[in-house]
Amino acid sequence: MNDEPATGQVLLQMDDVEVGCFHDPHRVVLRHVHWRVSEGDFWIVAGFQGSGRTDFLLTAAGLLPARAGRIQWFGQPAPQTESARLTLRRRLGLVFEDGRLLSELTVFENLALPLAYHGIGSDAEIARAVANMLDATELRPWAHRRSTALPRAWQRRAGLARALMLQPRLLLVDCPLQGLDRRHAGWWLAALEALHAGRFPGLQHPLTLVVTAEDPAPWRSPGRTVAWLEQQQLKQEPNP
Amino acid sequence: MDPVPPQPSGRSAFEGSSWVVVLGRPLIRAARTARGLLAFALITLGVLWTRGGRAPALVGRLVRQQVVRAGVKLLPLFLFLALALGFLVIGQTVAWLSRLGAIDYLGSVMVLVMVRELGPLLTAIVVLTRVGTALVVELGTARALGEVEALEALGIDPVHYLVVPRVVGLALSVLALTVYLLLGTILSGYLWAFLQDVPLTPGEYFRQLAASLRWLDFVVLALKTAGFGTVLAVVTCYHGLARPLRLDDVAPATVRAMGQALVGCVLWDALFLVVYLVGA
Repeated sequence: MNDEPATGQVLLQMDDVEVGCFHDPHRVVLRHVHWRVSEGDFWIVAGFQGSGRTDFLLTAAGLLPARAGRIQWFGQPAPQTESARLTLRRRLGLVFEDGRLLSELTVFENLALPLAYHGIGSDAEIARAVANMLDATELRPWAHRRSTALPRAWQRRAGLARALMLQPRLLLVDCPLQGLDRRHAGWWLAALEALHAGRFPGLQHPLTLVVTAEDPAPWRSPGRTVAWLEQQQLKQEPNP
Repeated sequence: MDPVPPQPSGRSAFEGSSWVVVLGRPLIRAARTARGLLAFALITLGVLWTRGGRAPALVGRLVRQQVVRAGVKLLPLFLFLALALGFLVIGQTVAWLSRLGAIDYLGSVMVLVMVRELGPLLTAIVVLTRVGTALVVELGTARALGEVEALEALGIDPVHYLVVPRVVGLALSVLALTVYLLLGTILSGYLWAFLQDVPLTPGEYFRQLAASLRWLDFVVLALKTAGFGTVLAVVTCYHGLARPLRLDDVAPATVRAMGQALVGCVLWDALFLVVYLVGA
């Protein structure tokens, strides 16, 4: 895999994929999914509670094996070697709805973890990168608190910050606005727009984004594509 | 109405099948658990072998954390246990052997009871109760809260990050704690004997102990105790991590892990009995 995707390159492609349920491997939540995410896209995948949004994202991220069909990431099938797996993980970020920070670490340590584990930079460089990301996400006051001490809205924001530490090209975000007040929701809308446009202070390049939502209305904007998860299908809205 | 045909004498077919059910299901469950544990242990060994050199600073720090938690923080408790065991085992043994005029057997009895059997097994059981339960709860909760998937999303191998440090840390901790327990027990044992006015000089006491120890004892002690730590870590990590859990699954998983870790330690101990019997 090349590190820099060519312009317009297909970053994620699903062909006739069947998505299973994470907590019940025998249940199928989506069938016959044909989907293609190209570089520079901004997808909003909408669906009601129980429609399989999280299972769909986990499958798209390669964390939940598809029950059937074929998925390619950056033009490659599921990685078979350790180095290919690591390359994919560094290029594809996933933000969970509840942040899923490691509870035994502080926010600072959570953000530093992927860089320290993959040996990206010296301790000083890692500390600098984390500090920049803390500033970009307004998390600095929480930096040395255990992640469980954070309110849920800030945990989710820390989850975004941690996913961005590896400088991914494609970011999957699970229901970022769920249960947030107007201030936090406004921050997320502005932050993801800046990430897509390459104007986010903590990231040096534009991101391709896939965002799930219960209601796609706040996300609708020219140039973005909306798809619905309903009746076990992924259905794309026609572009206006 | 047709007459009911007479049943053949002896056990009915139903009785026979109920015995099969009663014995068969637990056996099949035990076999499946053993297979799962073995597979998990092999995966851990494989990760330790292939990724042992990755992120050495980070993993080294995690190992040290486990050693502090399972070793250093348990030292006061083991000091107390050493005093108690010295009194219960060595103090009484010395007193009785001297009354019977069999004090020459002190070294053999001590090495057999404390060094080979009681010291390592007691250490493993105490570490299991103090640390093993916490391990299952913390890993099971992490699993239930989706932290394992979060690690995978970051390209971090959960076995390398969560299991390997605990296996290495517990193996080192049980080994070190056993040595401390044995030293403390031997010293406090002489103290209790001295307080009972047993006619035994310190030189004679330690000479007898040293004469009864063989090189095989040191090798087996190291292997056995490191093995205990490994068994404890593998069983507790397996029940905390190996499959998706909900929060309400954590308590039953902890109970299962405690029982199976204890059985695992006893089986590991029995294996070394064979070594001693063959070595003798």
